[in-house]
Amino acid sequence: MSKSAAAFFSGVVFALGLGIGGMTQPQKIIAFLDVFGAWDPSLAFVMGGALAVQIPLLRYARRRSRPSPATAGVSLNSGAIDGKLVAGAGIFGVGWGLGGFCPGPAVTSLAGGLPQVLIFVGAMVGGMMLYKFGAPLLRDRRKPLPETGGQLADG
Amino acid sequence: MAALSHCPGILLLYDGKILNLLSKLLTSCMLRGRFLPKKDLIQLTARRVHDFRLSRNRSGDMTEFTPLASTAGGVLIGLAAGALILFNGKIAGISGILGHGLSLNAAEVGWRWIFLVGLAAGGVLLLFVYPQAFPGSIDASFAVLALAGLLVGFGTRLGSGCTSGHGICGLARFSLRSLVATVTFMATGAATVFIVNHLLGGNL
Repeated sequence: MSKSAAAFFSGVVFALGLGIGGMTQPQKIIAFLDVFGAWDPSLAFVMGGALAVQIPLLRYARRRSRPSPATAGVSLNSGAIDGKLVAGAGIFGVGWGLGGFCPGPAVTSLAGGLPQVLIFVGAMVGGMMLYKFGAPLLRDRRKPLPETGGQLADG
Repeated sequence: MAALSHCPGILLLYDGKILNLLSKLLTSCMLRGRFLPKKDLIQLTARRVHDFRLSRNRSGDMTEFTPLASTAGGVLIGLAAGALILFNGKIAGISGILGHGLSLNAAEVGWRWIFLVGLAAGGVLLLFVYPQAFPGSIDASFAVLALAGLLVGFGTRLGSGCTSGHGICGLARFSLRSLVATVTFMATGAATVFIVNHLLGGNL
């Protein structure tokens, strides 16, 4: 299978899994997070099912191709557990609890045709752009600037 | 009047106590006798609070517990993410794929867009084979969803991952970093839902 075909079919199957698992229903996500109310633990089963398949597959992939950084997780493990990670995950959680969508299900739900999903995805892309162009600015301000004026739009 | 309930800022003022206080404040200063008699204002306040209570009860419905379907969905997600690793050597973190896919300079934007098109196409396929995957309507207002989207987009990039990247792919690698992220976003998500559902009394 070519790499492009693999990427496409992976996306399709991923979407089917999200839909059948209940991840495309914001009410269900919110009910999962509502541990003090009418708690619906279904989504823990989505995670469990995914991990049950992923863990052995990942172990197999790692054994098969040792030097690849993607399968060994080198590029992903390089970061430390820092404020950025915790703040980012914290902000994401607030948005997740408010809207009931995380990125994958939101893209999949575009097919459902509700204008609310389009608004959410648009705002989500906006938030990603904001990080992309905003983060370098913050970093520049913290650094002592050798020249006058930091580089702005070089994401 | 109903349009007001779609703005989150004003909704915070909707809670009975704050609204009462505000109406008293307004009547005692500029509004007294000029625009609205005090009696009308109190009646209006009462009606608003009543309308809001009604809308609360509508949105507080329970969802069905679906362990089998959810496990099956999870297995499919695991297979899809596994295929991406085996065939492409890539991690199926949707926020990373989307975030890096937005860049025009980065190498290998191609496979990311192919994956995203597949994700959207899978949504279209769901419409035919499993239409109940999509709700007929969404209660939350445009303003709340726009705010939620902004937070999700910014937060997932700052924290380098979302439910798929940290919650599934990261945990499957036994990454401590991903565990910390997953616990954090679940905690703030639960706290947000607690505030919205139990302190503010319903969906915004």
